[in-house]
Amino acid sequence: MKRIIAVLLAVVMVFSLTACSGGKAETKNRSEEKTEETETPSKETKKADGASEEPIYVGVLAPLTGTMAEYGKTYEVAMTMAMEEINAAGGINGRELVLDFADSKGEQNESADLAASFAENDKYAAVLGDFSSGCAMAAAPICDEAGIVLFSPTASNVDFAPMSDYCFQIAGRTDGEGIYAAEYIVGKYVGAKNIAIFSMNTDWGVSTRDYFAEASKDAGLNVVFDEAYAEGESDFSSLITKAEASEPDCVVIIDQSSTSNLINQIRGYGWDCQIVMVGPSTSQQIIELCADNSEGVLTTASVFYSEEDPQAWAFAQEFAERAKFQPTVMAGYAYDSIYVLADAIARLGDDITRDGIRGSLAKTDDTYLTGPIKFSEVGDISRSYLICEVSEGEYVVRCGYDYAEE
Amino acid sequence: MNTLINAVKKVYGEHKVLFLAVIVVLLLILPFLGFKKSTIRIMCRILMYCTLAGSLNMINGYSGQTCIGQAGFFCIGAYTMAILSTRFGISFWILLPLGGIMAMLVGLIVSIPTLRLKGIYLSIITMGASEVIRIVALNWESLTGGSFGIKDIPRPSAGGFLVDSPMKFYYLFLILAVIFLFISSRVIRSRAGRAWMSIREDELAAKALSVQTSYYKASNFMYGAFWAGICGAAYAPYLQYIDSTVFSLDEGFNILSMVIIGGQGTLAGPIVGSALVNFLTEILRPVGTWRFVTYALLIIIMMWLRPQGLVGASDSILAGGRIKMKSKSKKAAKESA
Repeated sequence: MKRIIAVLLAVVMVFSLTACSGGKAETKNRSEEKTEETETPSKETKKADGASEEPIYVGVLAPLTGTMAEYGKTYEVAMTMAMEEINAAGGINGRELVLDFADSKGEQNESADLAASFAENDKYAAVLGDFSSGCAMAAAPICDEAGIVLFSPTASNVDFAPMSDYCFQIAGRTDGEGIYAAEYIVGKYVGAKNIAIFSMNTDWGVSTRDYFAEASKDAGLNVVFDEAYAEGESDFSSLITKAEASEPDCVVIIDQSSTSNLINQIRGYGWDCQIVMVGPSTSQQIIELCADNSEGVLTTASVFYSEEDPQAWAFAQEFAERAKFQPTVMAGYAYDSIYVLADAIARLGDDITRDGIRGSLAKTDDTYLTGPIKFSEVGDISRSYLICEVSEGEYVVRCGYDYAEE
Repeated sequence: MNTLINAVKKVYGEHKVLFLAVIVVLLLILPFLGFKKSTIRIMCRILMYCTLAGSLNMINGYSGQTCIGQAGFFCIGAYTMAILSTRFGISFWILLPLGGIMAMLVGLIVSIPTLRLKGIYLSIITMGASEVIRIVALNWESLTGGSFGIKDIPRPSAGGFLVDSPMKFYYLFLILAVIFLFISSRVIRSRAGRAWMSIREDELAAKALSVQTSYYKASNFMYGAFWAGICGAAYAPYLQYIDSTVFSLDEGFNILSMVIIGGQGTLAGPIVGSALVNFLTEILRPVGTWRFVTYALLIIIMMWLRPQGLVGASDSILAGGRIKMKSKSKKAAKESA
């Protein structure tokens, strides 16, 4: 017995020793790995235009492990794709772009500590991430103090970007999405009078719900049921009974995690109402998990990976192949963030400074994979939305980006 | 192996004061040794968890009650600080003890139903209480900001001196840890501390010796909760932004794992645990997902080799004389058998 323990202990010690030696040169190793990965394209570019300057390093905070690991994977795959494409096309003004991913585990204190290590290392031009608003907001004061851009592709908390001049977010303001859903989908497209709202109690869910409810009132809609539930809740039967008793024409689900569950339970209850979902966008999972139950469900989408849009379609295919799951709207945002940042750095020419990047990023005004991106004064954006419907097991666009203007 | 341990024990026993002095001086000059800001932040975290894991150790290690909801008390302290400082601008130095007192009151409430419970049932109650606190923080939007959390928590200042850099926070957490260790070392030697330990060893026997177990169990919970609250109150301005996700059950288990790895029932245990766990988290970063496997392996091996933790009771170098007696009695029991 003792021998077994001794051997096991020895193995662990050796393992931790190797880990230790890796740890000291952590950032270096990481970047080396990345360089190796991107070696082929970068060599080609060197041959092509003879540029052999220092690469441009960007730190990425992502929950690569922990409960939000799947989103970290989305970040890793989508951002690496964009990075490789940029480098293959000659990099940023001939300089290679290198992303260094750091694992925040989705925890705020880790995220803050990692942001500090990026910020104090002059090598890094900017910081991307973190995935969740909470983590991004924990990192914000540190990046603000150090004067380095903190650009979160997915943080949705309306308070994030206003925290600092250096904070940017492109997930789209929740007021835009909530108001659009109320005025155009529910009011104009469905033509409902009485509506029921189910919403998830997260920063995103609450603020979307607030804007939605307010816009509903302005649009003359009558909110007959309005309940929030905690993220991760799985049994909605009592809420559904109560909602059905209030006889709404249309049910609105504001959620990013249990929408499919809720749809299945509503249909399983034998309640045949019009469902509008806000949040999951055109998630393939909804159709897979709800099958026939999802038929006729309407959704808002800022991005739609359809065959008609070759760029988006190619991205979705490539992403699915690498990640082994279908891209969500988050993947598109993560992918775009690299291009937005790369363009901002490219506009600076040779004089790349952290402050310069901030200024240049604020001037972004272009159309990317997920639509037009133009930052407001505080550093967030308002997105335009599509209306899609599930029809025969797939999403079909019912109204384009310009529906609101008609 | 044993001779080595004994030798170290002897040297340590002879020069205890010198050792402590060296450690204190080292800790005082540590931030000036040219570390990077991010490294100092890790030291801050280690020091904060020393107190936080220590507060849990007061409950788990000294009175033998198994609390796994320490994150709940931590949460109370942090929110007390965050809410009162952002809304009413009350000074950090008033709110620091107040955070502890609030957590202590919640500790009292939690301890009332637990007085009749033991072992796993008690653990479940503490776990439930921790989640209830977190969910209240998530849902009571008008007070806690709900899922939006509370941002711009002001940094502490004293007479124009603003505690704003990781280095200054290092000293704040260091002072807190030293105060905690000093007071706790006095408390565990006091009547209350002895009562707690007697409850840990044998509750019935303690009762028979006229120890008011329910009173001491409740006071033990309150003492542990108080320090967890203080930690929360000190940590909130350090993070400057808090929301309910910081105080999940995961955090509770994180604190518990430090106590288990470091060792229960000694003051040094949680310090070693906090240093090791936080250090490993950083060191093992490059191995990605595997670090959790290493982590788990470590806990399994610990349970196997040293169930009492690295510097936990029994034959540990740092354990006191009380434990020696225990091992002697074990030996005696063996011999008689």
